[in-house]
Amino acid sequence: MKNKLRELRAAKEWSQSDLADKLGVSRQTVNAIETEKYDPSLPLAFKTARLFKLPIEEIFSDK
Amino acid sequence: MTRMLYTVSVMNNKPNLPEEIGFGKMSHWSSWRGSLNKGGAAWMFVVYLTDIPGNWLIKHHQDWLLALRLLIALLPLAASLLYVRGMVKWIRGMDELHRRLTLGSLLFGTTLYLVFNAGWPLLVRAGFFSALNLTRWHLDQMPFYNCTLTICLTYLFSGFGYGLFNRRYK
Repeated sequence: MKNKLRELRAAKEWSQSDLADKLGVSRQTVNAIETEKYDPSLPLAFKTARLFKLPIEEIFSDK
Repeated sequence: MTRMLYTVSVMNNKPNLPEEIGFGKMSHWSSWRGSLNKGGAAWMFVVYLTDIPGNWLIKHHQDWLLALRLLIALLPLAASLLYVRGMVKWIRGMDELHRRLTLGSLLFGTTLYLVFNAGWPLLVRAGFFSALNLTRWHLDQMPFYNCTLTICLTYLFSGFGYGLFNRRYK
């Protein structure tokens, strides 16, 4: 699954640790999602979408 | 269920990390002591402290009351259950990636332990240890029905599994 997490995080000037704290996950998890080695669960995807105030499909896509 | 587990990790906001109870983080006494409170690790040491002396006591005091012998024999099992309870709480506080990694590695460790447990007597029966002259170290008499050995081996195999599964996400 593709995602724009890295770009969105960079636009906010947050580090991986900052984003991890806001999402309540570890930095390693944020890194694994950004490098597309790990697909987040639905609750985490929704939480990410809420944090960036974007629809979920604008952050994550299956193409 | 997933929702509940997820909520717990969000409530803490600081997810538990399996590395925090790894031996690598126990180099200083302060972190070692802190690690004892995590993942039911203190109960693991209670198992070690009650299991081996308990075995010795029962072996050398067959004349003691049955209730007392039962108490001594079952104490490590009770501590093991409390260790598992602490471990479950600890895993529940992890974020989803680490929870998945830890559960996978625990399944790996438990399966490997069962294979080990089933395979070892077959090696003994085939005369493997006597052929290699390893019986002097009593390798043909491994006490598999022993809480200490069970926990140690499962912990060791799970640690190996965690290292294996975690490589992808480093």
